[in-house]
Amino acid sequence: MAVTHPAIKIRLNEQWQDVHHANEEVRVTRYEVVPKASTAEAQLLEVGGAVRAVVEDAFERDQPLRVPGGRWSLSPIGKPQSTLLDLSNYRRIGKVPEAWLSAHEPGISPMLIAAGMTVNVVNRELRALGLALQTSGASDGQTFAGAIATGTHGADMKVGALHDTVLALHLVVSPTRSVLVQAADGALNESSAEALSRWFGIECQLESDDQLFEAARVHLGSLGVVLNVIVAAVPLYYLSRLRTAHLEGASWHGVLGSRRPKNANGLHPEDPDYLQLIVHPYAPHPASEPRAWISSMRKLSFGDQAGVITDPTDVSLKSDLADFLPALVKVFESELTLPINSVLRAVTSTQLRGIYGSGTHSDSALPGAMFGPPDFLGIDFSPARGASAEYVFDATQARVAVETILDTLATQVDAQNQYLGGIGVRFVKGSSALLAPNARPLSCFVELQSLFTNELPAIHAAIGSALARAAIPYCGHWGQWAMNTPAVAENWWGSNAIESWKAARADLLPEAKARAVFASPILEFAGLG
Amino acid sequence: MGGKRASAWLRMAWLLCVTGCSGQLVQIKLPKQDANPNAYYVCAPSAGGATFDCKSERAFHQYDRELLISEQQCDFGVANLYVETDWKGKVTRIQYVCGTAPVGGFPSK
Repeated sequence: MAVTHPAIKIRLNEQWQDVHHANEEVRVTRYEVVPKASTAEAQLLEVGGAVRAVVEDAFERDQPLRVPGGRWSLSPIGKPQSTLLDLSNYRRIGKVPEAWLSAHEPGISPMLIAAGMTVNVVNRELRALGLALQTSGASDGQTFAGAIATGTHGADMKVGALHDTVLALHLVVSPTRSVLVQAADGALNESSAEALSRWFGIECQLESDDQLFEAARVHLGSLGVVLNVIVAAVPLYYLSRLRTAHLEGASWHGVLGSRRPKNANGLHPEDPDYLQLIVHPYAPHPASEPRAWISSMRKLSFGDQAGVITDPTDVSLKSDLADFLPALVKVFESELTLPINSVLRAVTSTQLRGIYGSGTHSDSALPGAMFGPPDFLGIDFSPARGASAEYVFDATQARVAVETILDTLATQVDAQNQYLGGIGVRFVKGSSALLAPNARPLSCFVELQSLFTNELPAIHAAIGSALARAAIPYCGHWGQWAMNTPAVAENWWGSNAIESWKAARADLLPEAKARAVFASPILEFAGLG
Repeated sequence: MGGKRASAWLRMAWLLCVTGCSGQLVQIKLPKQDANPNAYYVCAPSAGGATFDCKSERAFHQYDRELLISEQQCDFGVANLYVETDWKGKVTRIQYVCGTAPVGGFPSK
């Protein structure tokens, strides 16, 4: 029986594919929620009614249901089977009502946000209120729910990843039940659940439980429909960034171990908030070309200072690894069989130098601008395919891990397996979320962002083997190249965390039917299903 | 050896031709609209040539120029519109991406 609800538009036979074309396309029915009532209260009831109708239909037909995000994940975590519940038009943000809170944490503004809004929009709306997210990914097209589902992070060594700023999640777990999950010592009181029940017309229960909360913060898109999130915003700040270029053999290697960029260039701050390195995958020719770039940032209080970039589309800010890939796509186009490796390597060097420079560069921007939209939104990857794999290590092993990867790439190129991309290294404070990739006190994310070539699976297999031989535990970013096999997951998170996450999922979704409806394909891959 | 060199030159010529020899793809963007990343449609000229047939299809985003317009379509307007031309400049496809609802607040209690 087809879903009928006045606030639902049924879009039949629609195409779903991730932006990078890493997944095969799927034909789906997209239920687009279109709230149009004249008041906020009436629109919330429309949204709740529409969600209830679609979830009910999925339960009745045992039909897997996905809530689409920004389509940025390269892994199958967001891949639908046949049905999408599209919440893109549910867009609301506001301060958590005072009556909901039993305590206040100084310096924090708890904000209630519709979880289907993109980080870009959240940044924009928070800025209008003189607020900001504490951290985010390197760019901003993900939905908020999608970003935390995958453990999206930036390079914040003092805050952690985006999910580490979440105070509570509002999950619809059945057609008739929702839960508001917070930590055991969370500040929300029963008024919050009572209001959410009334607003959406779906009974809501407040769950102040650490296990459920730590499972839900990185929810893998598999714990129900994430309808709302409460996030800890902070007063608006700006980021002062310094980027320095370094030759092969210079002291940038040491920064991987020390996390002190000042040791490589005295202009860097002693104690930066953010630390990132971009590394050329191969020793450049000539040797006078940079091999690595160190980027550090400090957070500073914003007071309309001159020179601080506020526009997310300012092209002068393009410098993240995500901005390197489109340039590569434009150059290589269908050049995927690598007949002239030396030429392609030279082009890679030129592209890296062109984007990151060969000297020192500094700029300042609001977080919503610094981590704005990447270039790949203006690129047609076809016939090429983007590929990105992100390995996560304990920061204490960052240097040996990066050197193991670089050695493997050098070995692979001798076997004609050339990697066509760049390498980003970012440091992120650890998380207590059960399946957060940043599971170590300080975690190091090494991102290999590239074009997909026929040689790429062999390259990543070789990297995985090399890391295993070197006894370096790692996991993968949930939204990137799927590498979290049961063995990798066990080795990184341990059986206690994995079993605890599964138990929390069974608690939130006690019926097997519910677990099947809300299961992401990534669960089966990782042995979590 | 000579064949490989010729192949490389042909490839280089093709690369140089990528921007100079092809038609144009124009992104037409409506101001103050946030794109719904899950509502994208590709349009091809109808058999009669007077209009376009649009359906949800494999998306393309590459463009050479951007044009701001004020046309409104979809439930909440159009956020992005892409026009593809052939090498003569003739339009072959248009893609539009629907906008999303305006951002609002929550009730106070």
